[in-house]
Amino acid sequence: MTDHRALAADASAEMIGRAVATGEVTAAAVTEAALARIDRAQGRLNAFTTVTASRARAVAAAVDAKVAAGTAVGPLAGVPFAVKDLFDLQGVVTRAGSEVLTDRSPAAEDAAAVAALLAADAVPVGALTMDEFAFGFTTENSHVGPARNPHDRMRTAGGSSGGSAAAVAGGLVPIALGTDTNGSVRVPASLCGLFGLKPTYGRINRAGVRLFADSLDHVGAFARTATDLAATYRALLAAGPDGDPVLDGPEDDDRPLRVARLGGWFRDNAEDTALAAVDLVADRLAAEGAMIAAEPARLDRAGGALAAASVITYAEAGELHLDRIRTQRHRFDPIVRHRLVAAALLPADWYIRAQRVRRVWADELAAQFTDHDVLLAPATPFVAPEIGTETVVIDGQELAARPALGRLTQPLTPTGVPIGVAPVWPGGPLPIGVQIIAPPGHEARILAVLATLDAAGVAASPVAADPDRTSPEATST
Amino acid sequence: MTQDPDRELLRSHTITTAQLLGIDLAEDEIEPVLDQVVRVAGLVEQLDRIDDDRITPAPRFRAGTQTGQSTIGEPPTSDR
Repeated sequence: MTDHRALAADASAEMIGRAVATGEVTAAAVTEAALARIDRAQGRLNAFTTVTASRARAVAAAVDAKVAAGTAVGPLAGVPFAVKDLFDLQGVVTRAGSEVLTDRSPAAEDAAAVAALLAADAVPVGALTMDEFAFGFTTENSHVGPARNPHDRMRTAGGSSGGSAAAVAGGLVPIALGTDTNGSVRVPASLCGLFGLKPTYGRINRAGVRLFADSLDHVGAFARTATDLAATYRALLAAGPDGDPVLDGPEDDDRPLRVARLGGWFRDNAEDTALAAVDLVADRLAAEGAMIAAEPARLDRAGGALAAASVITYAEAGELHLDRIRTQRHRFDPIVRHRLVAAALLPADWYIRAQRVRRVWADELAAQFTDHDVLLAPATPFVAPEIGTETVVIDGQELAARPALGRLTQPLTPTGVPIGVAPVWPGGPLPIGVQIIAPPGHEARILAVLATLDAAGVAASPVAADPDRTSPEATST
Repeated sequence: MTQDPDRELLRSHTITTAQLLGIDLAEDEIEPVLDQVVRVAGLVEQLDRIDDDRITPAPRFRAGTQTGQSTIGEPPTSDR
């Protein structure tokens, strides 16, 4: 008997994995349902740059063969997943959203993170739209067009992992991988209403990932439930770390969780909707027994930290792409090209000054964890803007809209601490995310908070409606 | 062509620095690149001067650093 629920757009990875493992549905059927959704949604969302249908079918068949043989399968058995187009997928040219890399050879092997999900018996269905070389917050890619927000196609999905977020929020796949350098998982998770995780810096191996800014790049994940996000994170751990292992924080005991909202910069640069979302999360955690600090935690260097993150990003990206800038910059998206040329020219003094600010800022943030277990802040200053929006007004200041999307994520990235995103709907049709910030090595604490919020319904990630769907897609197999 | 002397100086410096790095800027690239350089310079003005000779390449979390202090670590094993 086929479990048709596992074929639906809103099926969770948990549901699919259980149904495939018990033989209630085949991985092949789940894969075909996902491929059909992807095909139907491409013109609407522009989430995918490559669909790996043949490989997906082969992997699904192998999973089904394991089940038929009575061999144990992994926790993500038959779960379709897709990755930002900067993770190597064996046999696919990794383009990082750029025309510059289109004439490279297909990847000889999978990125470590992809291999980790395959080891959990997940099924890779393709690569996802992104800002060129991850340099942006809106996935307005001039080569392939913008990724669109499934909750309102006129609005941005966020970036630079916008295709990843659009694919999950649109119900094309239940989980996806992205990367976060200045907020590129957290911003799209916020704008598309998804659970997201940027683990501790160095936690997940980046082998086979096209870098953007080496000292800031993190592998991260998106899901529609806290359980699925946790399962994806656990599977990713099989990729191993980048360099030395990141130590797990000590297990939390039974004492109440100590929670504080971030104040100052993190309130001044957020619209009321974003602050309301933080309040909803804090109120729920208080109802669950957490101790919420009466006064917001104040971090004086946050503005400088954002500047430092930007300067570090420019300097590292400029150095990384210098050869391509010399020889084939006409093939870059014009906006990215001008940024990268300028980036290559930055004085070393600027980069070093930024790195020093980074250290004292990391210490300032670390000090907050003496009194608090978890810090809360909005993930974006506002809900998803319309694609092409040039300026926004925050706290009376007119700002360029695209960089403004990263105003609340970017300062935190240089510290390398793990951060989750809870999707909250404080009113109206659009979501906004709340960052759950913990000390290094405490991903488990973040995932526990997200699970609490998910169970309480304060955080939720409904699949966006598919206007093209006229009949049930789940058919008997 | 801009008349601002500071902008002219920056323009000249930018073209020269680019040439040193092997980048020959086309005429229509110069102004957009200058805009980006000016933008980053504005960010640098927001950086405090820290009286410390150490540089922090990236955060690394090892034994004894669980509160989040950064340590200097080995380069990542990523594929550039």
